[in-house]
Amino acid sequence: MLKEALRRLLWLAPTLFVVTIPTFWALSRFAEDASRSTESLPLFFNARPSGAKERALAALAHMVSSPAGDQAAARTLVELGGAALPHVLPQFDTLAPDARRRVALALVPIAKRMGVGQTSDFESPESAILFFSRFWDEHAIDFRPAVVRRVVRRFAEHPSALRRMEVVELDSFALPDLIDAMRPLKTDADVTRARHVCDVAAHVGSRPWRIPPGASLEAAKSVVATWEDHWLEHRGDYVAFTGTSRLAATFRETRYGHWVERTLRGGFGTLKDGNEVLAALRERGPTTLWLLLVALFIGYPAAAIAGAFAGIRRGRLGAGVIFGVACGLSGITTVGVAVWLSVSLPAALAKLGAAVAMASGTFALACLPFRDAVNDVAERPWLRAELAIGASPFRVALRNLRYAGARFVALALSDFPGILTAAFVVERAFSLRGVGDLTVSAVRTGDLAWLMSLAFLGTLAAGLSQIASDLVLSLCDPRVTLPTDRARRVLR
Amino acid sequence: MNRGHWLKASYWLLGVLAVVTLIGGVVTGGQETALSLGVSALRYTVVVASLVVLLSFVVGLGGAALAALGPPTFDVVLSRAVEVAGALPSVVVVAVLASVARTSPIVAIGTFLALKRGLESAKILRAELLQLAAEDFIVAARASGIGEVRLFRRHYLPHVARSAFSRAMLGAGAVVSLDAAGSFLGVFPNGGSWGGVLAEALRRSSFFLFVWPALGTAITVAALAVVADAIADRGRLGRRFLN
Repeated sequence: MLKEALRRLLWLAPTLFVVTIPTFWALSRFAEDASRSTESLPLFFNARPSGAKERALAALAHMVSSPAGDQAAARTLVELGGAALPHVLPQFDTLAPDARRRVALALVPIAKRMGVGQTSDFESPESAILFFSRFWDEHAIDFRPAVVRRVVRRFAEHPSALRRMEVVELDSFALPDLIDAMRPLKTDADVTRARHVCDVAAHVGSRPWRIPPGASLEAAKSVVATWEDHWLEHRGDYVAFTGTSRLAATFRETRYGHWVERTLRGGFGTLKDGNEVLAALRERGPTTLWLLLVALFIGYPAAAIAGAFAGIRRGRLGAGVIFGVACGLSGITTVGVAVWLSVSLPAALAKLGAAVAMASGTFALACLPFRDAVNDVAERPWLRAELAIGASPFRVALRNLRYAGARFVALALSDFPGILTAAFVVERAFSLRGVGDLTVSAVRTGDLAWLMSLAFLGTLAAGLSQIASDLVLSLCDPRVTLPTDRARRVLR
Repeated sequence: MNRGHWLKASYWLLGVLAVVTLIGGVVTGGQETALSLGVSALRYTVVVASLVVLLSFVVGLGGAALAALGPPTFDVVLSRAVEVAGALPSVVVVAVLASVARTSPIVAIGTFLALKRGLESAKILRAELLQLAAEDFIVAARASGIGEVRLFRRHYLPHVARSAFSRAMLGAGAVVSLDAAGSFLGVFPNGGSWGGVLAEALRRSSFFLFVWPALGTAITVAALAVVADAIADRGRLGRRFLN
């Protein structure tokens, strides 16, 4: 059985991967509808991933074709920064004189950010052309991945003004290595290193995310996480996809690919209000978890005992009362019970009221199915034999209690979405700060990050619980596996 | 009143609900009165609950048959489908379903509950079918050269159809509960069923508006449970020893 559990645990990862695909598709469509916006990236497959090269050449083409100079294309070139230079500057000689002038002027802000050249170099288009031609002749060798990696590593390990200048001269071309150099982040020395690296990244990337001097480890981690999130979204602006990286980009440069990367990194991304999903889960999760535990350890056992009693003593007064209570609670619904208790109980007893509402909601959900399950269990041959020879129903129920365990867990698992909904209702009625509010707001605004995190964790929990329930089943009732195996053998 | 009386009363009640559902629109004349709104909510509830019962019966039985008797892939697909169905809170799934399928929340509620109940039922029925597959009469029938479809129709179906149907009937009450929760949370607009009326009653703090849908749901759930018991008991031998 342990082997089987291990096998299923190993299968859980690919299962999660497969399950998230349709979920992501549905939730993305829903999120687009809810937020009335469309994302630029394709959902699952990017047939033509656009990297720094494609963007730079497209901007260059616009500049060349527009006699008056395309302002948007010029802005794009400035945003791409140093990452565009290896693709634009080698084309200089092929451009018409007018187009060359326009392009040279568009590149001036980049040169200024890089701290290269004198004011006189940019006074006229001709001097700018001359400057950039010379610059590329001298520095083309520096715009190579191995060189950049070495320059950034030297700066990260032993920062100095001179080494900083070397990195700044590469501008956004150095961003991939700068992002890599921000991690690991475990000690105070790491914080200092990350502070220097973030400072240069903020300069070359024109972003405000810097680590202030004396910042704590947590503050530094937060800034680095912001950089990593930004990098995930805008990596394509600074990296040229060639060879295998182009092949990988067909998956990585998609909305699903971004989500997978974020999840593997353990962050789940950020909410629409700017907060981290993980931080929100840490803050609000315990309240919802507490309500779920009330459902599992109070509501369910109560429903199981009452359902079993109602099933065994059907036709008697006690069973009728239980049946009536279950039907009544189904009619009033969790909403009715929660609102009534929240209005009638004093604020000091709010938690008690929430627990009662949660337990009653679970009771209404599970009592009748348990009653039905008792009738099914009574069909087992050995139980029929015990009952037929005169054993009392309660004695039989007690002796065979362990066989109901698996059914109990299975029902609890299948009712999980309903129980979670009941927990949200109770949170709203008693103004508790749980994940319900965030989920409702995510549904309204189409917050994909939150909904996908919820789906991912829900699937993971369901998968693990399923394995656990099967283990419980085999431990409680080894006979159950025998007919299954026998039947499978017969069918084959 | 003995069980026979309760059963008769339940049949009568469900019959009356069916009649009101069918001719309700004619009686109220399409006017915006409290009665017409009440009848409209009742019709929505009954129609969607019926959809849940029928669809979950079909999904449950079909899914179980494929998982237990079909290729092993179906078995894996059923397990994964149950896991997916349990991944998100019901209100979120209904909101997403309504948006993606461009349908009203009450139809999405019906579809979601039918599929979810059907899948749950399929898992339990699958185990019953696997146990039946090892019984002597099935082995004998198989040895006599009977076809798979005929084998299922003649030998499997009579053993599992009753319990599948009774299980499907228990899912009907969840329609009201889910519509009430969704309307209360503001995740989807009032679906128009008794659940929507319940949520509206709580918003207005109106006791009288609250009582009748609650009572209606409770009585309907009770009637469905009594009928489900009666259907399932016909095939249960062990039940006789409990009474």
